[in-house]
Amino acid sequence: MAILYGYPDPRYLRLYKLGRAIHFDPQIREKFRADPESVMNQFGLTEEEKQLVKSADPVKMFKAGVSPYTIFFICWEGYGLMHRPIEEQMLYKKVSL
Amino acid sequence: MASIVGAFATSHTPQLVVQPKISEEFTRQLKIVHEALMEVGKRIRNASADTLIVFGSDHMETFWLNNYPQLLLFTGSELNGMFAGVELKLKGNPELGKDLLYGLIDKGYDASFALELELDHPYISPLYWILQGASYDSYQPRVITFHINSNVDPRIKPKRAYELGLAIRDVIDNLKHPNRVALIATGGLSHFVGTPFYGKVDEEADKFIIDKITSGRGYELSDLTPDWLDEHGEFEFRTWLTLIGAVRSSPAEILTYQKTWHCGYCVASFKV
Repeated sequence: MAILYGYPDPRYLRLYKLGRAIHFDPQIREKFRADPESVMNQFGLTEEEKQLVKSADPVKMFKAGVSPYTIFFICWEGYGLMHRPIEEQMLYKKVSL
Repeated sequence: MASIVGAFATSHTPQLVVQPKISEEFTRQLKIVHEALMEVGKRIRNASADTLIVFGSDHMETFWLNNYPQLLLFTGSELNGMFAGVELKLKGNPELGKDLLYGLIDKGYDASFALELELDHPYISPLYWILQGASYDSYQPRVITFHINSNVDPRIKPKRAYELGLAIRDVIDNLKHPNRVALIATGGLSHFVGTPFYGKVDEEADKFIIDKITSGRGYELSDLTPDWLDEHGEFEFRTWLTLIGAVRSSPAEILTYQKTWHCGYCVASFKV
């Protein structure tokens, strides 16, 4: 297993800003849940970044090189995965790397 | 001189405060951890600690990518934080913080400092429960937070984190302030937040660590490699290593260990 919590890939700085805003700002979080496209546009995400966010797939994001904390902010806090059944959250039982 | 009157280490997950209602067993386990954290608060109060030095690690929340510190000591007067609807307003200890900062610089630890900070879950999650246990309304210790980068590469090496703790102890032992200090490390144990391994908990690695710290051999854990820490979900153990250095590897009592579905929750009290 390689280092999991690596140097933040500079390509995704916009995505990191979006994740942090979802974490900190309840209004952004609610707006993201209601209309993710407009929030992604507000943060200037590229089409590739938009597809990653729309996938709501933590594994896909991780494999693309997104910081695990941004993934947590977007998927667990933004999409509310933290409140989903445990079986849905236990990624390691569902994926093969 | 200042004296260390308490030393504790604990997990700090967001779930400690958010408390998602996703299983009765998880709710039961969280309650046990909450009770252990409140026991830490009682012990801190019974020891008449006037200052808490809390070793934690930011997750790109308090700090941002325009300036991401390896080591950062809070040296201000007022410390605030908000997470998941929980707001903490704490008093700092600027005199002790400043002397600790200068003492560490003299010893070759080039820590940054901050007079203002907005805390997030690595501090708020455990402190919320610890301060409840200490009956915070009538007893308000001052708080100094110490960010030890365990979460965003490049991170402090485990050996360096441990040696930092040794240096902190030397500085505290020689401070002119007669403070009664309690140390708290937050983070861990095994978990894999935000990765495809989320939900895995390496109980064997947790037990390995617990065996070392309960037998007073915590110093041996400073030889762990960064790769080992990530591989076993123990990357936040760096903050514990700093505390272990500061208490010179004194033996720990485990107040609780709960292997939950996503994290090995552990609350430990070290002999001082």
